[in-house]
Amino acid sequence: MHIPDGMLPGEICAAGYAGSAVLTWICIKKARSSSEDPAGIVSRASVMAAAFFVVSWIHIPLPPVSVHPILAGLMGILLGWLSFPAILVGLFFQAAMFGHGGFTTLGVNALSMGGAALLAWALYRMLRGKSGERAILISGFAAGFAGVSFAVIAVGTVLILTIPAYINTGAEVSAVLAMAAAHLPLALAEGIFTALVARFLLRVKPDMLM
Amino acid sequence: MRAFENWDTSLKIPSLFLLMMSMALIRDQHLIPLLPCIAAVLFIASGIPLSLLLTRLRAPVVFLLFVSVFLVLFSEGETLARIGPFDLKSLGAILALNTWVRVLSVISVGIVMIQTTPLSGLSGKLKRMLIPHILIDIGIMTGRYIMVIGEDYSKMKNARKLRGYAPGRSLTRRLGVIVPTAATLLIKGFQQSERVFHAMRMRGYGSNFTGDDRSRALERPSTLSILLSFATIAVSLLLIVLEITVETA
Repeated sequence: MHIPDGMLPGEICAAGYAGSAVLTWICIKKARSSSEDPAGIVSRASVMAAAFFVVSWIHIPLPPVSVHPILAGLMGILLGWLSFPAILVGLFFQAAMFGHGGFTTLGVNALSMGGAALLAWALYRMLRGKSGERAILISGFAAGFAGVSFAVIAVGTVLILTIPAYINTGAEVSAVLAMAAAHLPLALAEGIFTALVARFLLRVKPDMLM
Repeated sequence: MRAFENWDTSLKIPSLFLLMMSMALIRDQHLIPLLPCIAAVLFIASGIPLSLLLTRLRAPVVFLLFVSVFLVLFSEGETLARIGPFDLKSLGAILALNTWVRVLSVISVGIVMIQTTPLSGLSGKLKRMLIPHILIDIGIMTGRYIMVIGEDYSKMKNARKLRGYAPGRSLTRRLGVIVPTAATLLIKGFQQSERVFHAMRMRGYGSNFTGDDRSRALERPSTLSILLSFATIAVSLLLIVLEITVETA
């Protein structure tokens, strides 16, 4: 899911950084407008980013393999605007500590994963409506499913569009569709996982849900 | 190794990052062989063990394999070989090889950049590089709390094992364990963030420039740092100029 270093042309990487910088600035500004104190933003984004980083070590069994959750939807639900900067920082740590993703592609990866988290959050807010368990299960599933789907489509589109022009268009479209289909079980698993975690939080600590 | 560790961080990170970006820019197959040469020189000079590079390559290899298969099967041009219903294209094979070389070279430079950067005083130096303070603070605290929350997770796993709990193969039974574990970690993280928030406010977080930052801001980079940065930037610019020249020719 993370695009490694050297895969994308330099100009795309630079554009990714520019886009990420603008979106980070917007997200921090929006988060600040809801919380006057910068300490609140820093502590919540960083500790929750660390928690998400650790939760991504937990593997969900998806026979015959097991996958780790991407958590874009859950981050959106719990952090709202702060999900983008938190994902940006989390991706940096993943690149530095495990070699997942890369430093030159950090901006593009952040745009795809962080953008997916923001879109999943918007979808969750749209569907949430009432505060019952049924509503949280539906909106949680939608956010988890959409978080993975948006990220896969974004990464697939960037990859296919930057691959040299010697590939025919039909093959490019097929590859994006194949990539999306391959991630469908993961999106479903993440949807179920997000819905159940959101329901657990609603029962135990409802003020965590945005 | 010493020279790379003593290379001033506020010069090293932008120089090596520029080099990585310029290497990523290279698409011409005549220039591709330059990339592993540059990466090898940096990697050997840094003294980083090769085993570390091999460990870091596990994650991107899957991605590279996917892209390589796609390029070899779906490129246009002459057929190199035929396996069953699939035609392997020669142009695709060249593109795939170029991709592997470029990706491995850029990753090697990235490893040199991150492994030779000391953590002490990193925040002050990153602030000098015009990276927003708030992002650096989030990064530093995230790094710290990954360890703390990671320890919590290990304790929870050990406690589960000591109680003799074996989730088995059933998906629903496993989810019954995974969901409360993940949610509990998130709740712990949330509660910890509230405590950290109060501690930060008590310590006057938000006031500009600490004494430590000011003293570091006055530090001048060593001659060695300037020379290494100059050489790296020169190589980066040379690569960009060569790529543009070859492309327009």
